[in-house]
Amino acid sequence: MSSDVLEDFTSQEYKYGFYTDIEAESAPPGLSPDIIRFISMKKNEPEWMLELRLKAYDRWCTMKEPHWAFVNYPPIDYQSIIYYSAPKKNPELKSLDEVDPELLKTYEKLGIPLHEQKALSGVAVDAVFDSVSVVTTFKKQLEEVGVIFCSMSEAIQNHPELVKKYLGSVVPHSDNFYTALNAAVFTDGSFCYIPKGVRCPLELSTYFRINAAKTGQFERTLIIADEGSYVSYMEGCTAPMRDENQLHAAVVELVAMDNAQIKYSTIQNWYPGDKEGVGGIYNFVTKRGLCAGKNSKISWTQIETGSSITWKYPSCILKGDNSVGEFYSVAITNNKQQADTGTKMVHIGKNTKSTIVSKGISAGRSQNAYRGLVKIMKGADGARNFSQCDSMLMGDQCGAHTFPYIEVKNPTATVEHEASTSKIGEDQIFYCNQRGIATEDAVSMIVHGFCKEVLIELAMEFAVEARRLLEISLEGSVG
Amino acid sequence: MAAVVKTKNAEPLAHEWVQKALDAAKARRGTSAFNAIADESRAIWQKVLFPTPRLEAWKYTDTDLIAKGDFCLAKERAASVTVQDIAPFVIPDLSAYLIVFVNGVYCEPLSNKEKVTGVSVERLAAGSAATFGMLGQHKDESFAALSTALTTDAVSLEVSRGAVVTRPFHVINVVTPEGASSVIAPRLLIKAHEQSQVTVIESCVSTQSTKYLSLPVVEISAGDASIVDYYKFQDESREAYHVSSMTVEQGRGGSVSAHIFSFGGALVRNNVNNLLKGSGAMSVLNGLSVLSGTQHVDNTTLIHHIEPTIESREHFKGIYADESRGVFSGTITVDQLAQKTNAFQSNQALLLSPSASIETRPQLMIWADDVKCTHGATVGQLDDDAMFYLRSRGVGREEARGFLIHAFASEVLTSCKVEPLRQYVEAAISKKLGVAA
Repeated sequence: MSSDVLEDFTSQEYKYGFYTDIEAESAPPGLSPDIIRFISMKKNEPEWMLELRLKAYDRWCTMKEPHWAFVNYPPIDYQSIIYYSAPKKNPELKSLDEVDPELLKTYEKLGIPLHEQKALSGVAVDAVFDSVSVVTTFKKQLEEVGVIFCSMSEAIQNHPELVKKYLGSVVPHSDNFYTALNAAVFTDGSFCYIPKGVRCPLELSTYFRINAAKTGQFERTLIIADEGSYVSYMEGCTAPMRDENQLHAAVVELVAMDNAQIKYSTIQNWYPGDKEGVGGIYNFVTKRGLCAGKNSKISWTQIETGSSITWKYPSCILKGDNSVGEFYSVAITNNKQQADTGTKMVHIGKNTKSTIVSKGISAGRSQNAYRGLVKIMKGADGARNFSQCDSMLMGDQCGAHTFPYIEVKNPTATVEHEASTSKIGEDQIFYCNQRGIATEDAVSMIVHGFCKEVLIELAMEFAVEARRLLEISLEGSVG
Repeated sequence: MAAVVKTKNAEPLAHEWVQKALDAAKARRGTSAFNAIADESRAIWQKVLFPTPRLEAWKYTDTDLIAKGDFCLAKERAASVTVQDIAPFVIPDLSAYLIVFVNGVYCEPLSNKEKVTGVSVERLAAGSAATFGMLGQHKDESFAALSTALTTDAVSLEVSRGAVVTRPFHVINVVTPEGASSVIAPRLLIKAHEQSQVTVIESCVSTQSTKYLSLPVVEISAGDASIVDYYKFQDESREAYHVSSMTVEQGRGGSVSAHIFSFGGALVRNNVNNLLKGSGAMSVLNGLSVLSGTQHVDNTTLIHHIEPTIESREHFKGIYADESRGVFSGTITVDQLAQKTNAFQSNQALLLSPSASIETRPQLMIWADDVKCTHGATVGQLDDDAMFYLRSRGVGREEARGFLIHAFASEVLTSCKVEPLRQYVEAAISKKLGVAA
């Protein structure tokens, strides 16, 4: 196989690496109760919220950074991170016109349609720039059907009863080191509530952008789908190229009541660092969905191409009887990226079902690990799980690893796990070449074919972006 | 294995029994060539002590009961054990060369005295210079280190170049009531030189229900183009603790198969390391656990592909009744050099009772790109459709159950090359689960 073509194919540069020069207001680096008070004050939060944060901070101080993941990185100095950075802006924006034009340009460059008139794709967007939600589009249309879609800060102000009830109900601050940190310092994120019986008319989307240097991004997303409702939510992320490592420790909580359905898609494209592994985002994220009600369904779909280190396990707690959890993932690592990602499916209710399809592609000198837990609790009669994790290796310097954990405490459960590792065969390329398909097209076809089962699960709007991203991420790595 | 890296804050007095046993073992060995390695192991053990469930490798198996066990080194001179005593453990029609250890001490009257062509059988206590400890498990595993430091006797089988041993060796490690509350450290070294062939069966058994701790260590060094078949049949007292360590090092173009049958014990942990160092080799590692009551069996295996073009097949099955608990952690590691590796792993569990549980971790760590590696794990119960099929053809419920259980086990048993042993294990399954043969 001509390795030059493959080399080219996997070595394209990160194209979202620009940096917007925008005036920002930041807290001094470091973390202390004072910084937390500062954040809380900046956001004009009620007293109970501050208490929650301080409680989480106390807990965080007693916790140790976890090191069980199959990743390597120098120790993080949590006191050198800036925990709050926001674009300086006029308070109380009335409309999009008042948003800093530099900011809008940034989003335009990223191809995110913030202007409503331009938003033909019909996606309601909440854009988070550094730590603060900048703008949320299509608010009115959503309000008509009773859907609440706003930034987390707004939700704390306007819907405290919902926030109080659900915040931390799926991912308590004591869950792990990073959730405690997030609960203490989170600055913004999206909040979404779909009332009973409503099928959300639009795809909801949040776009996260880290811009300022030396900052960490700690967003918090909470989605509640009440009885019989449906929502599809998409999330995208990018960051400028910098030669330092930035920390991103987000928490996402989903709650699905009886007969409700949440579809959560992510395209994670944080800056992955350069070829030598310098810089890039540490993406240490906790995502968990609770199928609280009967017949509820939560589905995670993720395309992970960015970040120098990914540590992420979107999970489902299948508590309601007949509830369904799904996880579809494509994780691509190139150069010196490291990914340890997978899912947890905890079956508690009867006849609960989960499906895991994970596709890992490693290229360059990267390490790509799947780590997943399927746990069938005692009461989960008739639970079913099917897991499939396939890895593809491009080049002989990379690694692909699989660490599934299966714990079964109920004999009526049926659990299946399959894994395979392969590479792009020379015979496959030869077959395509013979039929007039150039090598690079052939590689692209094979990669898409490999990921097909996941890509078809993506929301329409994301599918195109995902396909493009696949090609970019792998340029120059096939050999 | 990573088990060694961390230590826990243990109060030194808590494991007083270990220190006493270690001192006793040292005194019994006297001036043995083995002392250097035993002392080294003891030093390693002092650093790591008993593993806690906080260690990833011991996540599902808690050794606290062992640590608190208060065991002492088994008596040097065991009471006379007769042929009748060990008769139930002798496999019918096997006609093997017997090597018998009673409570960890070699029993000369019952062991084979015949000279076997091409094999030199040596004992540690007899002052043998055999290279015990050559595969260095004591450096990587806490229990292997403890076992090595506690060793007072051991047996080695060295098969000379080109020798083909037609009759199998059968090593019986039997514990009698005299061995109650004792710790034993049986040790077996199989060294097969180039182009040799040998079959070794090891039975770990006890005559009565007693509580004791057994820490067997097995080393298998298989030379180029050699064929080694090793079988372990473990059916000990339901109160016994059993933590074993087996390391296989395989040369070029050979074929090594290892089977582990676990029936007995209260808490059993088998650590298996297969180091595949010769290209063109074939490695088979199979296991069958049949558990009932509150038994706990943990099989932790590592298949390490170091050289290219090696094929490995690993198949572990478990049948779990009552409140038993099964653990399987199987890792396949493929080094960057090990291109054209063909590794296959599967773990299947059959749960017969609502209170039985299993934990399985089939793991792949791959650094080479031209490899075929698959692993699969399934957990289920007896198939209702299959049951219905049999019953609708006039097969009684119990009989049908027996059919299906034996059919489930057969996949592992068919690869057993020793027919009398296969039948012996089949009979053990029927006996243990009370099903038709």
